[in-house]
Amino acid sequence: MVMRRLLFIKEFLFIAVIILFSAGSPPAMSQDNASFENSVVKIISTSQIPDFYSPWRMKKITTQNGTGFIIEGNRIMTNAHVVADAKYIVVRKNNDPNTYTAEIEHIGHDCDLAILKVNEDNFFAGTASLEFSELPRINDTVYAYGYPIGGEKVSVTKGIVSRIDYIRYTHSGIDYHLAIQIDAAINPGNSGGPIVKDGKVVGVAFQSLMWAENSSYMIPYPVIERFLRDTVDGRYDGYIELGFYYQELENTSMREFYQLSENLSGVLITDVFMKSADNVLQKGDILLSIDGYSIANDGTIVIWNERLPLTEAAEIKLEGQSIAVKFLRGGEIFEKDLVLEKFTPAIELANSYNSQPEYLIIGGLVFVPLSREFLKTWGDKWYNTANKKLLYNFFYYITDGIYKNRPSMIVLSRRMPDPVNTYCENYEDLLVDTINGSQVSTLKDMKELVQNLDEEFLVIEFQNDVTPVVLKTETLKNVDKRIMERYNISSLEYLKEPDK
Amino acid sequence: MKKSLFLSALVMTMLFETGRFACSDDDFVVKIFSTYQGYNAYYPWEKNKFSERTAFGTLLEGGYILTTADTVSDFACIEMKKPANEKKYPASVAYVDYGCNIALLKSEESEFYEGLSPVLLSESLLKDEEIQVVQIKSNNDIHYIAGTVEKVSIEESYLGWDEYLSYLLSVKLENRSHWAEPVMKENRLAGIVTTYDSNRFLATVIPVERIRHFMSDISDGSYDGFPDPGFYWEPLTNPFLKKYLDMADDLTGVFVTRVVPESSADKILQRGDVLLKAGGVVIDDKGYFADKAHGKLSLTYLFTSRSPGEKIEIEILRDGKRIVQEAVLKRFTPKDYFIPLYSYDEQSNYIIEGGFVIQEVTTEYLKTWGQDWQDEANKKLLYYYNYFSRTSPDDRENLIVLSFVIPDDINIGYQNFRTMIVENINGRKVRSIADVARAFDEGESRFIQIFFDGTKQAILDRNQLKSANERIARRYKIHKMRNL
Repeated sequence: MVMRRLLFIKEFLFIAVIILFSAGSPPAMSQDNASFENSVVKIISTSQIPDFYSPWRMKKITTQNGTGFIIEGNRIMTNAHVVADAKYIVVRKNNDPNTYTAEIEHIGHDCDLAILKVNEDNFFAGTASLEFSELPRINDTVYAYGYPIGGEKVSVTKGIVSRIDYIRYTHSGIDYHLAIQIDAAINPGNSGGPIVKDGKVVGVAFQSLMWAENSSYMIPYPVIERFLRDTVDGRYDGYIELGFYYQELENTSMREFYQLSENLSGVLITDVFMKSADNVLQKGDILLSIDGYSIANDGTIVIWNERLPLTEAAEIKLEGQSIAVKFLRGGEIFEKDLVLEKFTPAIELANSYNSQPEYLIIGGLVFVPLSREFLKTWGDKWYNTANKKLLYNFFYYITDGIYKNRPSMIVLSRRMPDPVNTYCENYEDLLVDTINGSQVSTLKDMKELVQNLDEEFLVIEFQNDVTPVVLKTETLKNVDKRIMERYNISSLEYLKEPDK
Repeated sequence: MKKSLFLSALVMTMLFETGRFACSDDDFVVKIFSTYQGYNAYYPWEKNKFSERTAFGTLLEGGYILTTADTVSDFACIEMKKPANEKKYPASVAYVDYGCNIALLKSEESEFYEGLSPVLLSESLLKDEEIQVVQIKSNNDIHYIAGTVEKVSIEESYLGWDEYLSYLLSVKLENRSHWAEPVMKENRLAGIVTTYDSNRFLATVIPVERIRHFMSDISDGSYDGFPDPGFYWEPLTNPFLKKYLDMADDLTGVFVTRVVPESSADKILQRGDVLLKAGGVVIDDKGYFADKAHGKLSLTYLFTSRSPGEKIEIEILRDGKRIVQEAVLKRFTPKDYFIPLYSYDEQSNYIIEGGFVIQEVTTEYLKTWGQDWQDEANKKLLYYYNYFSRTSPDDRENLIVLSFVIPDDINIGYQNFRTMIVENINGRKVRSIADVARAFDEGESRFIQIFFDGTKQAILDRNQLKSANERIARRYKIHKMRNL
């Protein structure tokens, strides 16, 4: 550990020296440097997350620091992960002794951006709102502003744009968007800070590669612009999904088989999993262009002067907008509009924030919906170490069509020992199949079935090779209060109301 | 290094040896030197590097040298040596079963058997009986080390899944340079040592019962193996569940959770049955029966102690009614597995076409993910391994995967394909590697369309395949493009 650390510092110094000597003209700012720095604020967020293993309780209270910057309309932009699960947020300005409380106005976990507002107007006195500019080019010099590692003063580091890439945003864990890699030193606390070129913000610092030094990523303007546009109506709806899978047509036999003539190029539609897409496209179609951008055989389009995956054409669209698609079907070319919708699977595939876990306790047995957060209770390497049946159903939920038969799944997580469930010692991490013969896949249905049961026994069958759980219905009646007291549980259930 | 080992061996001997030297009788223990070399599960056309194992062999009637099967797995060359001199004799494997971990070797040379005389098998050992473990030291002295039977129970085979009767001995074994030491009871063979826990001084032993079963099995010249119950079960400890199943208070048994198709239990048992008796013996709620010699043993022994083809009476409770049926016992061989547990001595089945390395999923293949393969391997394959190892979830015989693609012009666009299940080729479902071969060899169409699990597919042009295969074999030095 020590060795590696030393090595890191040495290399860092080396680079710093080079920058020092090679630094050209200072950054041209639209206003003087002092006031620019005053627009970069420190965010101190106190958060608390629920325990998805014991879903009735909360985990410890933690405080983390991040950076934000003032944008037009007296608002502060930062990363969603800086203020996710926040219970209390304060902001501080450079050279201002006061602390101000802030609130989240909009938060987009899928793009890791958030907008805060501060109720005290004098917070914004003497500050200027920063302006944005388009995508920088590779090798452009940029400056990263922020409050790394808890410092009270704004810090600036310099770097260049290394590459423009399409990467996974780790905050949600499942969203892929445009991102720009820069080699400026960015450390914890820098998150949410502006990356500046020629006095304008070209991106928001947000994540870095753990295994590669000096490769940090910023969220670029197209993603920021989309986020701001999405919030104009007072509500952030989030990214839409095209709703189909495609495969590149790089192989010549593949192109011949699908009778794609030399002058055409595109990708093969291999599956359609959303109704919005299903209305327009079908398996086997060759998608030739999207939103007017013609698609190469490797699945890329030229957009923002870069060659990027075709999904980038849909990235900037908002929910309910449509996108033009041109495709080849049966030798004929069709042009249609695909209305874009959000993808809302019944099980939570992404990391969840600011959410209360759902659960239902029956006779001391804890039932939860299968979700990413529940699987994460297995620890850091949950995607390897969690129960293999649950992992399979989670990871292959869409591609294996599991969602068609089982839109949501209930897991018997564990047992709170009590005389009522004495003989259910070994039941944990099992997928519920039926309750007294009726298939059940939501906690709400489960609760109703159990409440209306007029049989001698409650019989729960699982999708696993185990004996059914059999409890005496009569004994369930008086047990709830006892279990709540014994295990200090304030409520035996939390069921979300369905959206809208 | 060698010297210090020898010295420490000497010191150990002086300190701990409690045995005596065998003197009058002819020898019956020999040393076995087995060079083994398995196939590489990731590059199935290659073999791994070879190494050597050493074990003891015990001469039984009929000229058979008994040792553990794990001594000879993936063997390339086996030699044997008598304690009397240093001459080595080549050996061949007469019978081997990796599941029960027994192998019988033979020598073609009659000279080998001179000065050796076979041992007879002892009666079953009982708990607390005193025994002796035999070792030949490097100076060819034969040592007898005293020990006691700690436990007689049904244990999972070292390969998993199968369950066999096992002895656990309390004995101090030092310097185990050779495996498979014979365990003797009054000059008769009572078992052979498989594994040894040197911290707790406990040896796991293949018991004489298993050896006798094996020997009587081969007496007709062919090996039929140990039968398999063919079903999974869970204890019936929940009184509410028993009541729900309409079990009378005095009835005991276990809950059948899954029946393996085409097994001993197929069409006899079904999920939800309560198994009350097997072979007329009452089974308790935790799945034990009272064995006359050993006390409580797991019910699987009622099946595995018999022979394939034998009939066994099965009494069950189904829908509240007691039903008595007769099951014909069957063996479950490694080949019957959906995901085979082991495939020793054999090259796994694979096909390389157009650079696509297509093969059967086996446990060995999953182990190519490294030490933590049970967590790190492909999650879908692990799911099948954990839940469908024996029984296919559908009508497939084996799980066939495209393991990886060897880059070549013919497979541009597919070169990053990795670990994808081959679902169907030209519209025909792939149930075995033979189906893959047929699709490539016998089809008429110009294009071969392969669908994988999930959404991906690949098209290969039959007209380009022959030359591409030749090019790939030459460029990557693959001398064998398929094994079926």
